[in-house]
Formats: sequence, structure tokens, C-alpha cells
Amino acid sequence: MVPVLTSESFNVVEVIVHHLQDMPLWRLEIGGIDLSITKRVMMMWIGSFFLLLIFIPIARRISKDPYKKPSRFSGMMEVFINFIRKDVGEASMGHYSKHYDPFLLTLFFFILIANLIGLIPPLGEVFLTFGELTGLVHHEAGAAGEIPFLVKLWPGITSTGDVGVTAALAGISFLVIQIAGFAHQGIAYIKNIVPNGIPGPMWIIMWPIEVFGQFTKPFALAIRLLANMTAGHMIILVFMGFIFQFQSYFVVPVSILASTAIYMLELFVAFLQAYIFVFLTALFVAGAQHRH
Amino acid sequence: MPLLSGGSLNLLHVNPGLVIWTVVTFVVVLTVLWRFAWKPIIKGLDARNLRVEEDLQSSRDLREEAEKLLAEYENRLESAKAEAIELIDEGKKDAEANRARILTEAQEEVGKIKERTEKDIERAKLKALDELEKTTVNLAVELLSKIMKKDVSSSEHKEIIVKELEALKKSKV
Repeated sequence: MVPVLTSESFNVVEVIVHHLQDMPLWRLEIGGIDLSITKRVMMMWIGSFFLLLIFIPIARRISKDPYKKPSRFSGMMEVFINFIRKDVGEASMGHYSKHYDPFLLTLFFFILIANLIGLIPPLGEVFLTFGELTGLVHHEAGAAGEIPFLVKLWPGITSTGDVGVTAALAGISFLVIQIAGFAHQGIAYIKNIVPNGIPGPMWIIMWPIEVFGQFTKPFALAIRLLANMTAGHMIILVFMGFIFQFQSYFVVPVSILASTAIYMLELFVAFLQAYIFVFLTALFVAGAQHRH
Repeated sequence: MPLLSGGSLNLLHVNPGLVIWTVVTFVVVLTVLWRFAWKPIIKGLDARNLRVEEDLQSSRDLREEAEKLLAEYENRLESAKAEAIELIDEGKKDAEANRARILTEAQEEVGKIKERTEKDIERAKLKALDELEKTTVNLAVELLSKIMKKDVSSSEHKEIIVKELEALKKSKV
């Protein structure tokens, strides 16, 4: 049965919530903590799988013969890797950067792949919907409320569009920054948080502010990534929602053009935000390494 | 802070399970990629960069060497040219000198021959004059004796005529 959408039955808010809200796919609880495999966890794993699938063969090839001309794709990846190493790591930390390269690279590609695959719609859902509309696929007669397996396979959600994920990543960045501080300056790092040349009385005020600053930096990282990865999706959904809201064919080209434009922007933002996250992390690490 | 009323999307709600999964996933990915991807890739890229740098350096060195060689050969060529020009100049000078020498020698020779010839001519002239003188005297004596029909001692007449001739010569000179 083809569902008929009317402007009364359509609620853009519901659609947005449906697309942006995390949802458990497989329920799991260990020690009282809800560790369900949610849509975002699934997408994160798919992204991680892609990362391994992309980079391990490249590493194999390159370690077999580093002087061989790389293929077009691995050449492109090498450009990214070199960019992160030189223009992000080395540019901010100098020669200390090489210890942080693997972390920065993983962080960059982890965020990037999450941002990028989040742009691909939920394929299982799309397939099932089209299948049902054309009558080619019969809806599985599963238990009520059960999510079809195909939908679970590619939930099509941006994992970096959730504060839990961005906060976790920012937390890892925070840890790395603090570890870098102590590793390079020893226990004096606690004292050296305050910039050099601050007179005594000011120091008493400055120190708590600087300590607080250590937490605001990763907080800003988390919020920036979250907001950027959510806003674009929301705008696309709103543009598409116009079609159903106004029930008019004249809105269709406008909506499609506008959401395509935003989609292109999102593609750019996916790269930009991954870069900004890693670049700022590298800068903060460099800041913790030396006293100012 | 519910962002959208009517829905249940709360952007700032932190799901602890998701945080844990993110950290676990990230750490696993980091470890695996560190060991199996970044290490060999970084090693390979560094090796390639090093090779490229070395190649560049060696090509620069080779170029420098080639330039040096070229300069040296050019120098040599230049000096050879100069030498050749010098040789030619020298030859020219020698030839010139030879010519001048031969010319002067020839001129000297010519001068000598001319002188000798002139002397010969002079001598011949003198001789001829002498002979002419003698013949003239003899003829005069013969003529005179024939005219006077008188045999004058030829030595006496001769003396007179010679004297006269001497006087004539002197007046001529």
C-alpha cells in the first residue's frame, strides 16, 4: 500500500527527528550501562571498516615498493596524509610532530569518513521504500516495531552529528593535549599553563582561567563539529520538506536545486570540519608542548 | 535543551553508551591503523621523499659538474683558438720577414750586379778609350810622316802628340 502524504499528515519536524535522531538497532546493556548498537555506532563501524579497507592495502603497496608510482586513489590519499603530516602536524609542532602523526591521521580520517558516509542516505530504507512503492519488495512481516535488517545494514546517519561522538573525540584530543603537556614539560606544565611574564597577583587570577581554558577548547571542538554536521542535514531535510508541506510541483525544482547546493556545501564542510578539528588539536598539542 | 518542539531531538543529550563505543572504536582503529597503515605508509613516504631529495641533489650535482666540464671545454677551445691564431700570426710574420729578407737580399744582389756591370763597362770603356788613343796616335804619326814625307823618328813625334793629347784631355776635363 502506497502511503499517501498530505500536508496534514506530514510533519517536517518528525522527518528531521527521524533522520537525525539516534536509535538503537541491537539492544545491549552491560553493567547497567546502555551499550546498544545504535545507528551511529553502526555507521561509525562501517566508516572504520572503510578506513581499514582503504589504508591497509595502501600501506601494503607502499611497503612493498615505496618508489613505485602510486595509483590514482592512493596517490590522492597520500596527498591527504602528507597534508596532515606537513601542514597540520609539522606546521604547528615542528619536528615533535612525528610522534603525533598516527593520532592526527587517524583523527582526521575517522572524522572525515564519518562526515562523508553520513551524506549518503539510509540505503536500506530507500531500497525498501522504493521496493514497496513499485511492488517489487514485500515488506518483511517481522515483529511490529522491528527494524528491517537492510535498514540496519546502512542506517545512513552522520555519527559526527551527535554530541556523544564529538564529545568522545574531543575528550580523546583533550587527553592527548594534556599528555603532550606533561610529556614535554614534566610536572612544571601545571604551572606553565599561565603564559610567561604574568606578574604575581595576576597569576592567581590567570591560573584558574587557563585551567578552565583547557576544558573549553575541546568543548568548542565538540560543539563545532556537532553543529556543522547537523545544520547542513537539517537544511537539506527542510528544503525537501517544503515539497510535502506545500503539496505543489512548483516547489520541487526549487527544493531539489537548493538541497543539491547545500549538499555540495556539506561535501566541502565534511572535509573542512575534519581538517579544523585536527588542525586545532595539533595547535593545542603544540601549545601544551612549550611554555608561551 | 530540546531543539525542535514536537519532536524528541535533543542535540546536547549525551548518550554514555555512544561515548564508550566511540572511544572503543577510535582506540581500536587508531591501534590497528597505527600498526598496519600509518607506520608503513609514513616509512614509505619518507623513503620516497628521501629518494626524491637525493635524486634532486644528485641531478643538481651532475648538472653542476656538467656545467663545470662545459666551462672547462669552452676554456680549452678558447685557448686552442687563441693558440691557432697565434700560430697563424707567427707564420704570417715569419713569411713577412722572409719576404722582406729575400727582397732586400735580391735588391742587394741586384745592386752588386749592377755595380759590377758598371765597373765592367767603365773598364771596357777605359780600355776602349786607351786603345782608341793608341790607335789615334799611331794613325796620326803615320799620317804626319806621310804628309811630311819625312821620316821623323816616330818616338819624337809620338812624344809631341802624346803631349798634345794630354793637353787636349786636360782642357776637355
